Amino acid sequence: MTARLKIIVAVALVLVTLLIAFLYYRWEAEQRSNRSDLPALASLELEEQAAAETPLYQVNLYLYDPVSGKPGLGQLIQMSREIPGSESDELLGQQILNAVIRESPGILPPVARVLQVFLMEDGTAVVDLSRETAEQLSGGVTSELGILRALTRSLRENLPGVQRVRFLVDGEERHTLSGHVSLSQPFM
Amino acid sequence: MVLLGVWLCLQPSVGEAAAQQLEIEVPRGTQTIRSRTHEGRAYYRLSQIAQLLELTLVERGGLLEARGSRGVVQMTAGRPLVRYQQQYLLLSDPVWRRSSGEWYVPEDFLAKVAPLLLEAKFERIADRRYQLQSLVENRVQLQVVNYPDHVAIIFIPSRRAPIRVQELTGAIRVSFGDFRVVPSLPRTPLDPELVQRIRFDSEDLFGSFDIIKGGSYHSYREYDLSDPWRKVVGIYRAPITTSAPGAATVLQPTPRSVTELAFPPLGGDEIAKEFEPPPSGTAVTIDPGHGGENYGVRPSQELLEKNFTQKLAEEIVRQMKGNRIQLYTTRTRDINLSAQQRSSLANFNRSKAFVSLHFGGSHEESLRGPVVYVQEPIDEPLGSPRLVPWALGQQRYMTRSRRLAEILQQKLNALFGTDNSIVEAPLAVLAPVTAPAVLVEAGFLTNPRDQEILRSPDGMAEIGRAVVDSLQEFLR
Repeated sequence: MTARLKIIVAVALVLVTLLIAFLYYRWEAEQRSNRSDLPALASLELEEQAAAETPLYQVNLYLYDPVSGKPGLGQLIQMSREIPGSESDELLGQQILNAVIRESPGILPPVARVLQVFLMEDGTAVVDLSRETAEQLSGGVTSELGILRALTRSLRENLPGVQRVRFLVDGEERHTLSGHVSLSQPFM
Repeated sequence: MVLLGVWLCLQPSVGEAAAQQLEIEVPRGTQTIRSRTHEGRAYYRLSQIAQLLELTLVERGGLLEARGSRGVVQMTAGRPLVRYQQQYLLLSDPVWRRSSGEWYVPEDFLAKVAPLLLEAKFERIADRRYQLQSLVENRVQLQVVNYPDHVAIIFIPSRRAPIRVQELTGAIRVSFGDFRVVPSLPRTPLDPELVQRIRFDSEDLFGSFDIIKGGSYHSYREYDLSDPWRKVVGIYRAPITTSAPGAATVLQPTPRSVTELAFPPLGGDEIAKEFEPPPSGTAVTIDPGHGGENYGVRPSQELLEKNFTQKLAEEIVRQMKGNRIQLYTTRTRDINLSAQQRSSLANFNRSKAFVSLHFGGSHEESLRGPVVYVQEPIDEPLGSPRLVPWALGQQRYMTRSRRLAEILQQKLNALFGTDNSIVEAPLAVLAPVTAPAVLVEAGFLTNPRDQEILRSPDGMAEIGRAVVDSLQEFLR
């Protein structure tokens, strides 16, 4: 091998090494930005993806039971369920609340959904319910109050940092969920 | 080995969806935008969309502003919320900003956000296919004819279009679809008692007219005339009725726009006088719950809670005749009022008691009987006794509200044969009321036994009697 060929090979190796380093750096930066996006993601696809990929996590759900007391005084009943765990508490909260909805057929319409859960530093959790949840909620004051209390209790019991819960509907503040119960104050 | 590493870096990760493409029809032809996959979902480059739709993109800090011919939106990376004026639009996935600085959006940006930015019709015409169409103008001329009992407002469009007439709380809205309206407003003065003014609202892409109701407004009627084709909206005043001598004082809020009554304007002697509250006496406000498009409990198409609450309110008004109590109702027609409007009326009337009428409903048919609700205490200091926050108006009246609730619960339980108890709840309609206030669910519309009572004229009369007796006992 001539000296000239050796120089060409050496330069080529340096260039290839630099190219690999550059591509690796970009790939790593993209992965980092993906990871930081995670808590904000609201899509149901992500929830389903989490369900398929992560180990199960035991939670206590609190469900509204209209017949366990006098009319208007329905109680919350506790139920253990396994749901997919998550690195993000916000995503975990969303999964817990959607599990409460799934376990409350009749009280909530099948299209009801929690779109997003935000956790604030002061212990407030902001829960964004879908518009259909409010529009298709049947029943009077009792059902409306029962489901809000069930969602609040389920979140508080499973996410220790949560002290109070505020509800939004489709990303917006509303006076009431379905015409009766006030959403202007947080639920404890 | 090195080449293998390079090849791996360039490959999409396992599980990513295949690239998709969007087709956008613009006046100069059909353009295609290919997706880029991120986190398994399809995203589209915003700069490409902006170029096609002639949007301007400006990035400041972490905020991106997209400006079109009609509006502006703002978005931040990693958030699915897009800010438009004072509201937030929720996208299916968060906006994505690549490390290279390029912004990407999910497909529903085109359906939810883009139409708000453009002075043109932009809509989805098929799966992953959108169309941008410039809007055709429709010149709409308005004529006004004042009659003794009504005002006829005639809309003469240059192009025949589907016209939607809907009643809002303070106005009648007339909207034209498919065309951009160029208005020609009438010169004839309007009867101000029936119509305060006609306002053209250009916020909507197509444009719409709001006929602002006057103080004597009672109802409206719409019909079509031909040669040339035109739409007529008649605004009618209330028919004049004479009351029998010695009849009870049954006052109802003037239909001078409930919104205005609920929020009396401040300042201006003349206006202030018009909105002067009634003299303090024994006034009671009855609130028939729900109304309009808000049906309330609806176990079937015939059983709508809003109709039952109105029927019960009418029954209470009928039974109050001959009584010294001045009775107000928040609504006498099938319209929806906000909780704030209802409680505002109670406060404005200087009520001595407020009763919001409702009926219960549950998927558990066994639940039955009346339930009376009172406001749950709010854990917040009241502050100055002269300046009470709106949401804490009820705080000082809770003991008396409870007393009224107990009387009502007892009388209604006796009627239904139940032993239900009063319940505390955070209720939007009760919280601001500065008087003893309760919300009554007078039976469950979903229970067959309760239905029997509620559907019989005698049953409704007896419930009305129980409410009237309770009020009299409470106010004695």
